[in-house]
Amino acid sequence: MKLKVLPPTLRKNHHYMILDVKSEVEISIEDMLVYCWDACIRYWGENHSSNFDLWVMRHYLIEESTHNNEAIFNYKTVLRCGRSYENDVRVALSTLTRQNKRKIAINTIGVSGTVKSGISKFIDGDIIQ
Amino acid sequence: MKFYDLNLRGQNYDNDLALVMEANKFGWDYLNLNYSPDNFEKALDYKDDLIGELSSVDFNQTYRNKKTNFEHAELSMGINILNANSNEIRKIINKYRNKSNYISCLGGDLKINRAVCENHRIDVLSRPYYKRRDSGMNHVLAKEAKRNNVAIELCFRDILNNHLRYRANVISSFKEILKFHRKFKFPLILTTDSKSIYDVRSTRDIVSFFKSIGFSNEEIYNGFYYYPKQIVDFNKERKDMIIKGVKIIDSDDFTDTYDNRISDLEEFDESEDFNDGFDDLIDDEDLEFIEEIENGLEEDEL
Repeated sequence: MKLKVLPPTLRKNHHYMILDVKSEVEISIEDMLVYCWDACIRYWGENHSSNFDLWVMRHYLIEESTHNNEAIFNYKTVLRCGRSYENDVRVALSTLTRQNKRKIAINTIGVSGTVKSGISKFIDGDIIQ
Repeated sequence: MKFYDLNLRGQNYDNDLALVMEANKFGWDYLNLNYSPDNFEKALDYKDDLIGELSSVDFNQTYRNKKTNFEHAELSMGINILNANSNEIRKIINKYRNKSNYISCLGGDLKINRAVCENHRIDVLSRPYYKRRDSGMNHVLAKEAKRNNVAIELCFRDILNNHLRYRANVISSFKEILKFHRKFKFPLILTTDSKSIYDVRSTRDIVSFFKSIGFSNEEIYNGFYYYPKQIVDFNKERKDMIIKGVKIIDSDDFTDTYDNRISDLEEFDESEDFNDGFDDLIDDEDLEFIEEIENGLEEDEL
């Protein structure tokens, strides 16, 4: 049997972070979630990371380019996180440099109250697929 | 407030251009590319090209704060002395002091740390904790750095490149140097030391990091703006300074006393928290949308 939906006052409050991701290889939405959790657990530990409640809502490929004969994949991602923990998540993500021996860089470019407004303010117009 | 990054590692034109563009995109307002003494003069040849490219960037393609008036970053070039003993440092300083507006020296070795802190002709001692288990600083060096106005530099790239216990060691060194800074008041600057576009982080990310390890808002303001600006401004006038405390001034300047001089320094505002202005990001439309969803769910439950 499915659990009944919680009333609004008992639900967790979330904010949505818009990320700019650069990588040497293609990243899927599932990989992105794993990378975010890894970064948070490595920097803050398991106890504090339990407050973050991370989930990747959207993941778009923005640009594919080359620099010094190396491919650069640029993505924009909407990441859900617990309200009032945005700065903690942002720090953890910025300290991530490598995953599976491939370079990766994650920057937070904005925080939004809803997915819709986050996309319209920071992503719309850039999406190519 | 402007964000100064006084240490980007310069290599060649293509790499520097990509690096500078990326840093400009993520909100840095003043960038200083550092070269070894051998490469410095070659780099000066393409400095104007870099500035030209930087000024032609479309503001809307960047993540820069639209509330500020800074459309693109300023650029300068300096010298970073690596792997030299105190004699070599002295020779390089004599040769390049009048040519360069910024000279820093990589620390790590105790003799170098001491020699640099005692030399008022050097602007910055970079990474005194480099390849060490301790911070490379003590109360003696801290007093010398204060007396000779030599800034100590902490690099964010050391956090990125080290992992687990080595990263913890670097953070511990940062905290120890911060403790000395609070007691002895020597200039402490914060930089990224970016080498490739993968090292560039947005200003807010880096501010959040330094806050998370215990820096106060004022220390962050001083580290990213006040002390770097002081170094840049001081070095513009260094050529006119005969000895410490004496400066040649033009006849026009005689009317301009220091009391009347207008400074472009933005003073620290205690309410400054380097936030995104999150409240601005929630539209009325969004709030209506959220209410609609919540009302819908309540009706479903009933």
